[in-house]
Amino acid sequence: MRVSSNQTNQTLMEGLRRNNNEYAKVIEQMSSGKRINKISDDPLGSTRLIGFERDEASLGQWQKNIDQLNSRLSRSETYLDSSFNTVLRIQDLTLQAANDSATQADREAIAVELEVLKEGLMSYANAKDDENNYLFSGSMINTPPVFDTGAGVVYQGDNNTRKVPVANGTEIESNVTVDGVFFNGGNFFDDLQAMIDDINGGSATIGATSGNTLAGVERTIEGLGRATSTIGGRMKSAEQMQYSQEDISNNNKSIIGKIRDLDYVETITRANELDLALTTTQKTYAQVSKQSLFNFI
Amino acid sequence: MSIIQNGLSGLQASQILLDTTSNNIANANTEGFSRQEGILVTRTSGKNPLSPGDGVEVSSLRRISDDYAESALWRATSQANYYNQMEAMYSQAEGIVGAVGLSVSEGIDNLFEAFNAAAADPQTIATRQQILGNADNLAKRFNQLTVNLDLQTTQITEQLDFKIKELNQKFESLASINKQIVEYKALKNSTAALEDQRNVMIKNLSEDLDITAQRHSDGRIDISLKSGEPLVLGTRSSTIGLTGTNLSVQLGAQTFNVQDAGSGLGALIEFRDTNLPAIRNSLNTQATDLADQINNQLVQGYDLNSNPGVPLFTYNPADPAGSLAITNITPEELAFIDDNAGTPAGGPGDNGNLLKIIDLKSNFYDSYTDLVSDLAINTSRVGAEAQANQALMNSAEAKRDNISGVNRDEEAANLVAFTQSYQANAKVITLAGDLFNSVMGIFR
Repeated sequence: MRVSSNQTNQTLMEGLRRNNNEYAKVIEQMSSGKRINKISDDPLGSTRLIGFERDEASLGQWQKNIDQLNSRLSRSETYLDSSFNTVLRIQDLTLQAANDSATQADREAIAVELEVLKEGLMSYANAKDDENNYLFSGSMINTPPVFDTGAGVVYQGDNNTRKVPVANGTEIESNVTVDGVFFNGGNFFDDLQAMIDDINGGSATIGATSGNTLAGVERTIEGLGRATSTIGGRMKSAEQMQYSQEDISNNNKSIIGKIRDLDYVETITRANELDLALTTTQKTYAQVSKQSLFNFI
Repeated sequence: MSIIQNGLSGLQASQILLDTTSNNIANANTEGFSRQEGILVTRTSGKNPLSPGDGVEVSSLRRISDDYAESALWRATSQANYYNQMEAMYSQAEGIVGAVGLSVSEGIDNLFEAFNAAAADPQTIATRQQILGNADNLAKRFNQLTVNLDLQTTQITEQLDFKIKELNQKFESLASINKQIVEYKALKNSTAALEDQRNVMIKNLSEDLDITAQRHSDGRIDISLKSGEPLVLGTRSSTIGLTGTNLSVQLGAQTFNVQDAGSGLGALIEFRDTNLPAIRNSLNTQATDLADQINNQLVQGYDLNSNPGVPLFTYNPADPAGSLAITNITPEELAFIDDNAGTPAGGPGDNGNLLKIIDLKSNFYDSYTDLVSDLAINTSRVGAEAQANQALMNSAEAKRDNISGVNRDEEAANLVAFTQSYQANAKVITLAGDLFNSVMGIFR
């Protein structure tokens, strides 16, 4: 076949050009450490990356939500525990006061302590979170849940729950109210106050009011137990959620790495191959360009 | 005495052949040059039965060119340039839409991360402020994408305007070179250089337009678009014009509308008028979906002060992605409290409506992912096509050059052969002189 001199040149130049392009791409990959430097480098991989990265972002959001949830729930749990101890102490004192062997002086001393314990219990019920919002008043977070109107203690919140998303389509409630604790089929604060008033009024028998108070203690302990176990259950679910999400996230990260990150061993081998091809083409070019009949005539 | 005449004819023919060879060598690197060779014929008066002939002459110089190979090269050039241009356009768009800082997907992630953060503490102003900030950032991503795509549109339009001016000049030049060739041919002058020049011009034209060429015996070439619209008819040239999206060819009083110009120009028009608008439409749909769905949910809820919700986003329906912005909403006005039969379902700690907004998240990803993956697949596809068609063009060029191009070794061999022929004929003339002298010597 007849080949024009220019064509020989062109073919070799084209070879050099192609080689250089490939080489530039490998160098780009090595310097960025990424296999995909623009989306068209691997369209399918890029699309999967978007999916995985979105998944990761969601997981990150849920993990943060779970942390927040845990902090709020454990804070609530602490106040409920303290309330529980206080209620037990109230139970003890009520039993002592109701005992026939107790003198009026004993009872009055008990009434003083009960007064303090009631205040304490109210302050636990009106506990706030780190953002200075009431923990136990449902969605009425700016309103103290329990309030002494002078004519009695009332619950001022609502019973709305605040759900926090912790996984795809899964939400966990982050609050409990004290409505079902201290106003669990009665009014514990008012029952307690009636007994204190009874004692301070010098009544000889406090059978009725102390009986009411003890019944209130039962109901309140039951309410506290329910609230605490609800919180415990939620924290347990959140924990499980967190573990499984960490697993998913680790798996995602490893897939993202496989899609996006460069296999250096493979790439260095490729670079060496290209280097060899480039050197060979250059040598051929040098050799071929020396060949000419004009050198011999 | 025909020896001297024969020798002289050989000497002259050799000289022409050496001239031709030297011209070939000199033009070895000239683009589009077709090598030439002299055609030798025996000179004869043909009457005397004892006369072997009257020497040699170069009857003509043949320009070695294959019309089919030339046409194939033009076709391949058009095809390759269409894909080259498409690849360049797609790469640019890919660079815009694929830019990390402009990723709508990331913007949506950030916005919903802020919504999520508010779920635990819906009343906190700082988290609400974060939502406004991230919503603003997402809107700006849409705006910036639009600005950059608009910029690409403008660049293409400028490129097109320039190319059209250039092409109209090329048509004129081709018409005038046609005229020259027809005249030269009629006068039996050499048209080799002009024809080479014209072929280069046509190849040049095929980088921008998909053309067909029709050769005529008087030497002219008519050029039309693949779809038939005439560009150069003999010595007459058309003008093309692009008004809006409408490409037309005008020859004299006739106007033709062009559907598809092919090649580089066709690619530019197609990308500007079809592909870019599709990308922009997709962004517009995404922007309106996002704004409408979030706004629609917000206005159904109640804000921190128990007032009915107000929209977060606003846009101009004529240019949604380009004009997407946040309203002058305050952090307190974000309506996270659920609705309960026309009144707030709870106090400031209620997040019922916020949860409904968070649930919208999954609605917004698919169209962006589709946009990015379509773009990636198309860029990679036209890239592969460009490479394949570049190879086809190179091979068409090789085919043409292997017929018409100069091979230095061949010319060197010819140089030796023709020099020897020149020397041999000179010897013949010397010898004839000697013979003459011998005859004269008899009379001494």
